[in-house]
Amino acid sequence: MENLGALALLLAFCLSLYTILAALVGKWKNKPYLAATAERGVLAVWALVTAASGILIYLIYQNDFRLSFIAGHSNRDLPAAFKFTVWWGGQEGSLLFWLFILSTYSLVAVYAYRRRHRDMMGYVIAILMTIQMFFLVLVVFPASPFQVLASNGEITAVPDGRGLNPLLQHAMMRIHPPMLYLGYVGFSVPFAFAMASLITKQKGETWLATTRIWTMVTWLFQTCGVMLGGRWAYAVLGWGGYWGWDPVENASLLPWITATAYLHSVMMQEKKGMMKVWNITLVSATFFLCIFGTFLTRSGIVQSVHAFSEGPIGKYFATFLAIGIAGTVYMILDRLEYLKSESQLESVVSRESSFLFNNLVLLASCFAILWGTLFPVISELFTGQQISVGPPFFNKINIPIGLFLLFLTGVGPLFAWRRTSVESLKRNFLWPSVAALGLGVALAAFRIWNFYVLMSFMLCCFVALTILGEFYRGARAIQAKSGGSLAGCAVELTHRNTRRYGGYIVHMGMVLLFIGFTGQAFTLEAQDELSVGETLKLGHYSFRLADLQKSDNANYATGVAVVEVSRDGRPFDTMRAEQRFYHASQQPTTVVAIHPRIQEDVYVVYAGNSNDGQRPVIQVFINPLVTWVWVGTFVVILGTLVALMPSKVKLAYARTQIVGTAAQHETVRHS
Amino acid sequence: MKRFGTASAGVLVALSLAAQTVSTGDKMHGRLRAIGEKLKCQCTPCSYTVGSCNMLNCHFRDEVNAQIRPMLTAGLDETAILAKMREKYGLVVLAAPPAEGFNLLGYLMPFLALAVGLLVVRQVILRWRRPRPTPAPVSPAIDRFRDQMEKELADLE
Repeated sequence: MENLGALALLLAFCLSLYTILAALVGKWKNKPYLAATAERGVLAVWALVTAASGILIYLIYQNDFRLSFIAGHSNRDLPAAFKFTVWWGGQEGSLLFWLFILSTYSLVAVYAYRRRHRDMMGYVIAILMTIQMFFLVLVVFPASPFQVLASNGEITAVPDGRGLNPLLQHAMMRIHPPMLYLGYVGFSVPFAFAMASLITKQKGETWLATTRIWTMVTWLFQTCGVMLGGRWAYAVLGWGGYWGWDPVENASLLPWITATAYLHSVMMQEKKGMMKVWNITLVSATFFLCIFGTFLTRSGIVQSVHAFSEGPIGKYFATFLAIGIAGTVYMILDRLEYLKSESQLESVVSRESSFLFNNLVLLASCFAILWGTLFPVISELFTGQQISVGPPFFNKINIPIGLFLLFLTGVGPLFAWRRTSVESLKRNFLWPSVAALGLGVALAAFRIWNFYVLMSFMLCCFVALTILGEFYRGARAIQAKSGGSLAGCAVELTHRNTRRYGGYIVHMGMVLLFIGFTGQAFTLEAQDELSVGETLKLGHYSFRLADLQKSDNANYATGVAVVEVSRDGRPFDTMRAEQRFYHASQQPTTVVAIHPRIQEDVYVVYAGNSNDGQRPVIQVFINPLVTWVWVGTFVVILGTLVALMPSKVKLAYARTQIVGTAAQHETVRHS
Repeated sequence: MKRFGTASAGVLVALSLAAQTVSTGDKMHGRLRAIGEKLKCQCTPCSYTVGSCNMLNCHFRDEVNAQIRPMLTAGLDETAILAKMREKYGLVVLAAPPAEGFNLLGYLMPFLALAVGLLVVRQVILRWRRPRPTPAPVSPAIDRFRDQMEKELADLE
């Protein structure tokens, strides 16, 4: 069976090579039949990769421990629900998983757009298949998931596998990696279209709508993936937080930031024909940052709880990145003439300028995170001294940048295109500013004097009110015209221009996220060794260790600290914090007990045992406003879904375009 | 009265017993955690701080905490403790490098990049605002299109 899987991947590799050649030759020599075989090649590669994936999953469920990958990442007593996650639980399988998603995306993109983008489809196929071929090289040669164990030249099997990493045996891990991969891999499609538009010397309009929707969908997946990762860290790692500025966490954030910048700046190109070079650069940067993130996880150049073991594939990624980036930079420089801006800026106080600043700040944040992630390597290179760059560094740099971005989130959308009048600025910003200042004074009166905390809450208030003001004014205008309730009119308003108001909902989600982030400043924590019956106090809460239960099953042995929690003397909850020891992997892990509330989470960790092993160490946290982070994420998802829906009113818009060079007429055309 | 006295004594005993079993946590834990947040855990493959590392029986976290406790008891302040840790484990133990020498660049570079970015944005704005040659007079039909365009743009993103 494993030979069939390996053969399918080998065939897929050969076919991918053929598909690239057929797509390019078919295009260059204008041979439509050859080009058509390239489209079928995409389908055939997908079928082969899917077959290989199916075989691997089948072998995982069959406990075929002759395969090195399965022996290393599964075991007989692993619950069936987690056996599926073994697919992406180790390096070889995760590369195949990546490849499977890429081949599926390629298939969908090619068959959905082959008629609409006939002129560039040959190049789109060639680029997508080149990326697939790279991953096929990895799973066929250095990291085959079908590699068998051998001893003295004989294929052999171990009686049982080493088991899945305990940290991955969590419900969140069934969806977090797929979401993240759907995000990471999805950016390949906009990149392929962007490159194809450069090769075919297109001005950009034809591929823009397609890539914008792809980018939004993959951005949505990436958002879900990143936030699910945070939620998983919060529930499993047991340190009371959800974001630790780990290099791999950072790597997942980098393409998300550049994609966010692209989703904003693409509007400039759609509406005004501006920022074309920049948009191509952002799409390319997003794609390469996805590959870079994968490189970071697998090269061993940085240390992380999420990293796969150091393997030989790092140099493959480095080579692919170097060639890909060099080719892309050359292509952009070579096509600069076709990427000239078509419009002029009329006023600095305008939507156009706000997009520029928004992109600048987003990119600065991206650079700061990338710089901090790589600085230990850079510093060691120049000074020969090992250093660490952890949360204190990232917080110091990113908090001011993040707050400035939050400010732009509030003001940017309310600037008008072309120019913004003073009256409009006053109308939109006066009351939100007054309210934000009022909140600042009130918070200071309650002795909240931390500058960043004050600024964050004030900006959240300001941005939320500007957004609500936009909804209110628009809904009132509809109400005045056609009647109905204000809420109904707000829905109607959103339906009329889903993209704009969906965007506002996403911004509101970001406000909620910032409220949640700011809550971290007020975290309370205590820890103590407790005997049964003893109590630990923290804030308004008392934590009484009511019982210590032990049990064992085939997969793990567990110790449960049953903690009775009371608030101000009244019973609040009985929480069960666990400590597990997995038999197969011989690794311990914690399962945190969380009681979420809108104002604060109560978070209990069975953190270990006293030196004599008799008393459990109970760690408790009061984490204010964490729920706002998850609620904010849902609002961001909702807003993105709204923005993806077609608007009720189809808005045809005009665009200024400079045709030719100096002294020629300016013409206006409809698009 | 006697019964009341007995009951009161019982309550007092119960309260005093209860007081013995109620703790507000390891008294040193807060300061230990605050200092731990400034130290990078060195257990593999941990990427968290000593304060945040929640790996069960983490050898490095426990070793560092065991060293810091007597220092706190002896009255050493955070700066002195961090200096001692740096002396023992090297610069790598600090969760963020000190802003000195080459490492100062680590802190400055993001803001330098932002400053360069601002200059670039300024240049872009200036270039976009550079007056272009006045177009030749256009027909009234084009003017109508221009009016329509401005109206539509105002309605759009």
